[in-house]
Amino acid sequence: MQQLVILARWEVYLLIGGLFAIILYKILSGSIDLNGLLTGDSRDGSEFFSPGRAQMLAFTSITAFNYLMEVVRSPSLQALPTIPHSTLAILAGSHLVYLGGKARSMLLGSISEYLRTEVFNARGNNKQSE
Amino acid sequence: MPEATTNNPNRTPNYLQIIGLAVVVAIMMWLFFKGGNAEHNLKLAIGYSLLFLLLLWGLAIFVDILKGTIDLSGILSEVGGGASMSRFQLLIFTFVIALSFFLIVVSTGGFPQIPTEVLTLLGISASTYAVSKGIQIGSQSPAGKHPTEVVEETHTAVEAEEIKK
Repeated sequence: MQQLVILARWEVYLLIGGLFAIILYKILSGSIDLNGLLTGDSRDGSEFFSPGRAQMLAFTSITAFNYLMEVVRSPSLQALPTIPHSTLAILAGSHLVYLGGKARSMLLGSISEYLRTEVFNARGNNKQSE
Repeated sequence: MPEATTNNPNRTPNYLQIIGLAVVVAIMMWLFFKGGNAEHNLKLAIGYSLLFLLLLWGLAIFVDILKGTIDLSGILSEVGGGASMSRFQLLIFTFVIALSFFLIVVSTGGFPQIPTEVLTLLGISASTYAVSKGIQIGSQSPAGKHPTEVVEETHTAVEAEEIKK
């Protein structure tokens, strides 16, 4: 029975590690395309460097790396390590900034374009009232 | 999405399934004729068979991914093209938590407790992905136009009608 447990452990190593390795290989070889990861889309189809995406990538990488290192340093824990509330708050803020930027560019377009539309609406309303 | 090919007459036999079945039968036979405690042998036979089948299914999925039958090229892509940051961060956090969970299970031999903070982290990550998808879909009207474009077109139509009058 002990042999079965050892085999099961190695099998899970192989399957999880294999999946991770395949996805990593596909990302590195370009089969899974990461082009445009830091590029934002506006509603007119133009692309621009997105600071919201860049900061989110940075915060995500730092948080994920720190968490993994904490587990690697002491894997004999009885529970998954907790994440400080301050880290969660920073991460939530980072995600909000990203979503806010995306919503603005996708739903409203650029600020100037938004204002132009608003002015246009106001002019249309004035004409109707006249 | 590829269509099911169960009715395809040209389909080649799935050798992986045949090999899998043969090995499972071999394990059962070996344990049956081995002698000793029958109950213990049955447990071992079921254990080894399930382990082997799981390995076979896992390897079949890996082979399909590598061959491109299971296409993962769009796993990080947005609808309009380019990579999606929300998908990427969800992938990273899922892998990190899964890997951490697995490392602890391997080292302690039991299932670890999952703190609420970890669930919150995954919740934030998944919510961001969902909201991001919502924004993307919301930015397109049913006719494939942006809402502000629809407003502009409506105003133009109203103006044209006024001029006619």
